[in-house]
Amino acid sequence: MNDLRTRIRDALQRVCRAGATYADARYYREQDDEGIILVQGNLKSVERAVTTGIGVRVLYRGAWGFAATGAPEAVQGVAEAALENARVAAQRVPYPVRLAPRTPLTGHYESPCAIDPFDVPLEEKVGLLQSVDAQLTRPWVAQRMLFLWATRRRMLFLDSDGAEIEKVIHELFARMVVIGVEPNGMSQERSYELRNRGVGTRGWEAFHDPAYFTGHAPRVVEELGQLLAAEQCPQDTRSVILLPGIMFLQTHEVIGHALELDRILGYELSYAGGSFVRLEDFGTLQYGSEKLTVRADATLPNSPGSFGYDDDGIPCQNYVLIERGILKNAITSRQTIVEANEKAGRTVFEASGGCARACGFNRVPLERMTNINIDPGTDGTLEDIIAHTERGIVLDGARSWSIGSNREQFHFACEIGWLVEDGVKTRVVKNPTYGMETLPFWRALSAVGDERTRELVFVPNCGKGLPSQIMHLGHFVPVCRFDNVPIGR
Amino acid sequence: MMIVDTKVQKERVCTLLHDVVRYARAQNITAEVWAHGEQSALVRLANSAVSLNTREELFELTVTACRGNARGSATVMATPDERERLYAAVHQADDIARHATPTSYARTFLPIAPLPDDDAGFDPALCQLSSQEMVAYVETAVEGLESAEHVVAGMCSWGAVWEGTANTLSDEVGWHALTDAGISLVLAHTRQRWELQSTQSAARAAQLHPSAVRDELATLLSAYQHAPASALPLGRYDIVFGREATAQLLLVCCWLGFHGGNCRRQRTFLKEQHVGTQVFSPQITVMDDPTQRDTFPYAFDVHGVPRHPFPLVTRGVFNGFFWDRDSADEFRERETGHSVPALSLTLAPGQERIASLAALLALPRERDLLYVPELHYMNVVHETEGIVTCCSRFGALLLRKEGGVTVPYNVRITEKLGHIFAHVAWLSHETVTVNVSSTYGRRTPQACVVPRFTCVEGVEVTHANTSF
Repeated sequence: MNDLRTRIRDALQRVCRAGATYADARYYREQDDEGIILVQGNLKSVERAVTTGIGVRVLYRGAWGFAATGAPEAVQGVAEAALENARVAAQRVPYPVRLAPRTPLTGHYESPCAIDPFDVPLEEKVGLLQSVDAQLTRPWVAQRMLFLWATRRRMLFLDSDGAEIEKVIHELFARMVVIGVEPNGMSQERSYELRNRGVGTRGWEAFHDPAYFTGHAPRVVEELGQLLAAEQCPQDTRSVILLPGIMFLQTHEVIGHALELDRILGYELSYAGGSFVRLEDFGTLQYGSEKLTVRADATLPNSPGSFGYDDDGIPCQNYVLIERGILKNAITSRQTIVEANEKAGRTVFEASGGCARACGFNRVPLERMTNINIDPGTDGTLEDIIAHTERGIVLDGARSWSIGSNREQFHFACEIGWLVEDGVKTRVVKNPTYGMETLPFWRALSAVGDERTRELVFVPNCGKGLPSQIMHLGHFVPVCRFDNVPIGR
Repeated sequence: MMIVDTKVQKERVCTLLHDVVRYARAQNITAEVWAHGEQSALVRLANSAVSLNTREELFELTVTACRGNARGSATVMATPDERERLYAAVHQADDIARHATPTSYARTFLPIAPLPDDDAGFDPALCQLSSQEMVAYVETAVEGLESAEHVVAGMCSWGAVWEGTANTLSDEVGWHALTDAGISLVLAHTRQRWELQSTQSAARAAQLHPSAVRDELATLLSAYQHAPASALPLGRYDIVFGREATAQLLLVCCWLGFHGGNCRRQRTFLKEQHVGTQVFSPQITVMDDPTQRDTFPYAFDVHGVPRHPFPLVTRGVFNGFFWDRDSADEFRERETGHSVPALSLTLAPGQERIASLAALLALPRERDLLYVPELHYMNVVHETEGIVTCCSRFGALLLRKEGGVTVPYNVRITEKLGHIFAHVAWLSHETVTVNVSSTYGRRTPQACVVPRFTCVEGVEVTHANTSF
């Protein structure tokens, strides 16, 4: 390891002597992944993977070159290939990349984990899924599916400025899904995924508290039964009350992605899309109602959106994106803030938000969400919010999400809805949907639940970038109500 | 770093597979083995710059051990020469299988029959293509179209995969190698915030034609520069889907319609009772056709089952579901060679002689036609109803019945797949290849062959933006 560390450092220095202005390397000493799938009680698959490799990123005359290999000892050749790629890229650079200054750090981060999932016997993991499966087995359930994923990454980050950061990150995800069939042959679905309240540790111990996962099986099955007997969600305009199981996605898609600074600057136009947000909007745009305060908080101990240091070597932070409805900041990195400030003609962004992340050694860092959270409000519990709603619908469970390419509008389908009439939850409706333009929607935020309503929902599948990357993160969100939202379309 | 001699690579990978199988047999371990090697390059463009120029080289071995009806899989990333690390995967897979619970259904595990080499799709010239040459391609494709207001974005992805399969029941090794390239170039207006795109797919370097990309971008740019822009009223439209949009609809239809396992798991809009019945327009004929080389096909699946043309829909009649091995085992069906990383979907052409966007714009028409080249962020609102929702992107146009063209702000389409494929008004006579490869995870080239244009009547527009 020490020998390889020296060789990596030598390789970075060598490309800098050859003309690069900056170089960094991400060495994945070992990434362990395990996935277990149980369907209808059958252990469909148990897959383990061990990944090792190194990626080198080189900045030459303001252009990025990158190369990666699964053979880390070939680091010198990889660094040279990255430099050569940067030289080619430098032929077409109308705006040279510059990185915001920072002090290179030496550091170590290990995500809190009491029981390493990779130390847990397979029988125990399968047994846990089987015990949940037994609770899901009811006459009206046509399909039962359980998923468990664990990841452990041991990585080393080095750069040509002298930064050296080691990280060990544990992540754990789990999901239960039940599907039922109506008499007319149409299906309904209800699901639940492992989540928590942001505190504690990230290991197998997450399953010791039934409140985080296993204890939800009876409710999930019961609600599926209600859906199978439910009437269709009406076409209407109502107040929508979003539980954390859909509020996390609402936050993710049309706050999180919309505020990624690389999207705002046009770096994702050919794939993921742009953003309706403009640089001149920061500090003035009324993004939402006064009840809306949003943070990028990568310091929550128990979330896949917390990782110690980003892949630029910047320490994780907790900062405000939207304060009392006004847009304040973005999801940023060393590269984008320099360009944004220059294009804005003023200092919009004081420093990197520490949000540059790559999903693996063979991908480059991009602006990625950390934990994009909504501050709790003062409108009490879910029951309090319902009691103060005249005509509404409570929604939960993400079934479908589709968003405009500039995140200017969205359409969500949920698993379940409960109509609210005169402050009382009346009946379950199936196939609920809602959609709207982004800004009018957030400006219609009329109630935010208090701390008791907040849940931290994990996102194991946030896709972005080319070559494409899947990122893990979280959203700590309360119950929220939005008024005059079209539903059932 | 560059590997161009596929014979050398074949020797290296096939020897490894033989060695791993011999090793497993010596340990009394029953297993199948899948090797995947790749060389990937990608040039990304944004704001008229090359924003990233990347190259990677990876090799992985996946071992699946079988103990009766229990399975365990282990994947290790290494070089093909690191035998000890690769052999360790055999033990890890077997250890998982030993502790795994057997399924309640019988699982198939068969010897691999002799397979011909599947490497006709490997083109050394494409494999050797440098990023310098790819940047030159881009320069030609956008020549004269770029300006301070019209900036270039996009992606040029190219590379090669080498794969092989073997198991302990036979001495055969299936060998698969191919090259692929997928190009998408975008012209974006910096102030007005619209984006136009042209794409190209190539299995060989000789199929890369930047002038075709340039012609399409130029036609779209002319329309966007000169036609008035407006918000569309909501309602039903006759929509001409471009090739990208058609391929996207075909792909989602494949998983929501033709996948046998998904059907039994209550996740498709086509059901058993639809087999043999007219489910789509008589103009619709869909095939999974591994003989169609431009689709980057697999001649055999991961279990070594040979693949053949598989008609899914013939003149609107649904022929039946396709089955991967695990789904077939679970539901006691016969597998159809569909345990593959990617299918080779083709949609047969029609009669309408429209070979270019310019020809489409000149088409005499009795009603307004909404041209939608690409569908952004498609998702499934309801599986068994087959409802999808998505947005127009990358250069939609409204072709007025009186002959003019306007530029619509992007719209949301929410519709049943059954409606879309049942209400086809016409298909163009010429097919084109659409690269639908994802760049997540392993390099998995995939392309569909579809008509250049597909016109569908009465598709519902459920939201219309009021600006770009």
